[in-house]
Amino acid sequence: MKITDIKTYHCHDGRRTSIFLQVFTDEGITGNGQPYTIGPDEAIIATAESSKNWFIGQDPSRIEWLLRRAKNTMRFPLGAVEWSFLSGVDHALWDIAGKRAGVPIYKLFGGPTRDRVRVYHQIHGDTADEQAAEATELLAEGYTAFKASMFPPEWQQMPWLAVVREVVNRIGTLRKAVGDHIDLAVDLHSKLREPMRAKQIAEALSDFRLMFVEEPVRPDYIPSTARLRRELTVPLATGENLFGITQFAELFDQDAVDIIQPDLLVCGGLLEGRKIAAMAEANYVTVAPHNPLGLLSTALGVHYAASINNFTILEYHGDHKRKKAMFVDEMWVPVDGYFELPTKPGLGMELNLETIAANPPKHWNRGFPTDAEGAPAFI
Amino acid sequence: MKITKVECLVASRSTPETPGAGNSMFVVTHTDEGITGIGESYGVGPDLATKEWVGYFADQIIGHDPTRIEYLWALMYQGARFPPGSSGLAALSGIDQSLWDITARSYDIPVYDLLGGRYRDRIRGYLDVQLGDSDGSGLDAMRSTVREAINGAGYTAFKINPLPNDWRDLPWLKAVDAGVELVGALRDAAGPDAEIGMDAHAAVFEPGRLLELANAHIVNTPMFMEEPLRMENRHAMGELRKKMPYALATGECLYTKFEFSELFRAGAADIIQPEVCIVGGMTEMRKIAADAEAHDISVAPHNPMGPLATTVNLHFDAAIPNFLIQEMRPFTDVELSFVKSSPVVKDGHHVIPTGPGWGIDLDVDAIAERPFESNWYRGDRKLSDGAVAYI
Repeated sequence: MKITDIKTYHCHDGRRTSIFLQVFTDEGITGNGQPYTIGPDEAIIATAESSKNWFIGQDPSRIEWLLRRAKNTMRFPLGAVEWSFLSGVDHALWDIAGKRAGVPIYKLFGGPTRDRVRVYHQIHGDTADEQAAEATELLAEGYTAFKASMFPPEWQQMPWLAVVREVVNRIGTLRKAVGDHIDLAVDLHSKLREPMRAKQIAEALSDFRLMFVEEPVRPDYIPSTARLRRELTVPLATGENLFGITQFAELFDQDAVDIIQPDLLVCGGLLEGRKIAAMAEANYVTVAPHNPLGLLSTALGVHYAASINNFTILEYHGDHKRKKAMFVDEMWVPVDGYFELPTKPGLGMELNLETIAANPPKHWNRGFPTDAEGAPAFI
Repeated sequence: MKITKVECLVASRSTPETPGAGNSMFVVTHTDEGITGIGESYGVGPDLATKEWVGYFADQIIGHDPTRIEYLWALMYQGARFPPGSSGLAALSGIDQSLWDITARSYDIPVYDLLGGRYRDRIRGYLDVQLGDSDGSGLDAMRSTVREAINGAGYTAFKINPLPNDWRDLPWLKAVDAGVELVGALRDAAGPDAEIGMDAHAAVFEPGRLLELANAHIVNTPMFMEEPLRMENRHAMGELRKKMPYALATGECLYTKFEFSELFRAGAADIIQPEVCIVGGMTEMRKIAADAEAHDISVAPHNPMGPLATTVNLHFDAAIPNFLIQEMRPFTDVELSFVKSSPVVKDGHHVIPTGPGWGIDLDVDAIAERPFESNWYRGDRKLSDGAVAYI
């Protein structure tokens, strides 16, 4: 079998852009993938266009060879654009391998390791009461774990101690709404530059028995994350901003993490993600994949979870209720907070190319928050 | 598909000319769909204990889907509760290999396609050769072996002991000098471009002595020094590696990803040599290789085994980006009788196996003709004062 073409698709669901990718073969099997929309999406599309000839004419079963060859010819260490593109190619190649063998992707990896895949649901509301109401509603749908970004809107403009009080108020309100025995996690989203402030927040939340605190500090300098892990008792989760095995190896070698959160759309895909999970397993670290970008990403997360033994829980944003679900042909819905395992060959999900074409991309960025002095803050 | 039966075949390698040659240990896993998978277990010594372990694990996995390799590995390993040790992991490794074989056969693809596909076109090997005693009486045999290996199969790399066989009976400095001279004879026979690994086989106890030996061998431009120390103390290995004048290779006696992770944390290896028949099978090999890759460490699989285990290694070698070189030794006629085909070396490289599965079959009738005779003993080794030495 030979690869005949790689195509990317760029679209917009009214809130945000999505990129999808397809790898075509001369035997009629097509693989689907999704690069992360890291921001300058057009750069990912341009990378795909300029490098697809590295793949065309080659055997799609040679996944490690194809990806490594691309990485090596790029020479400079890969950044977000390149990792996103190659992650999408990885998904499509495994989709092809699964379709060719006639089995779901997790069965190529010695799975399933579990019968169903547990998710935690993201809480999105702007106020403590909105968040509590949203969680109460989701509790009724059967979800048993939640994560919230606890900073209030415009928090960068508030006095720091008022922020700490409000974060405590929000998680306290949420804990009261869901009861004592639901798993709750807090995402600080690497908005804090100061490890001391992250520590202060984490300690202020110590009564709420959190499942984990996520990205307490910026990911760039791993010793700061390692320091917090040494000094805090709450489990520390991080990794959505890291690419490839070597960055995760730094986390493990510095004992910086309890739970890793690789994003399969940017960490390098399933092959890289499985290597990362293997390293994590040797270090008694569990895996909770980052997964904010819709149903195809969720499908990848489910296959990944079903192929490793140290998976713990999958992030979920209620993708089946969101508008971008129209871009794929499958509607996967969690039951009682778990996804069932797919049975179709490959990824088990196809793209709705007409819908994608009917919703062209619009300019998208994450905004530009500032602190009270007008200096740039973190997203 | 369900597992219906898991057999452990223990076949004696002893002949009238080579008594006490130990056993070859195979695992054969049967399914209700007629697909059979095979694997090889390391002959750790008390081989019947390994057979008992296979039966113990078999009770837990019969009735399960054999393609759930990762799940079944955890079922067996975690079900053992205690770390299984050599006999248990030898059994687990053989079973694990048989599950990879079944899975890939059921999808009609070679096993390396499940590991990310073929990464290289051919697989370089090195040949184990013997140095002999300090009096040089083994040199003619060594030279003819090397000449034949270069002119025949085209080998470009060799491995040899850095000390003569009788080193334990010699004054230490005399043993070092004799080792340097004898390896120099190999260098002369193999030529300036041949790569020469040296295997100290964890037989020297003192880190200081090993460092002295390693430095004395700089004149022979070694590819690596293997198992310079005993394997139990990863910290000591890491301290030695910082002072090593060339690559340090180790790992054949380490179990599972956990022990290799310790090795990496200790900065204790440039090259790792996991043994697929004892480390926990292909499932562990893949994970260990990934961890090694992230630490800029190469993999040169340990392999004193027969054609089946060699083929299993070749699938790993074909797929793993940080593979360096594959250990080889000539197969005996007895070992060749246990299989229906055997890997071939050409121009110093193995050709890529084709599959499906491992792409090699056992001759179970020939195996049945050579029943277990005795456990394997590595023999007694003594230091010059009569104290117990390491093997």
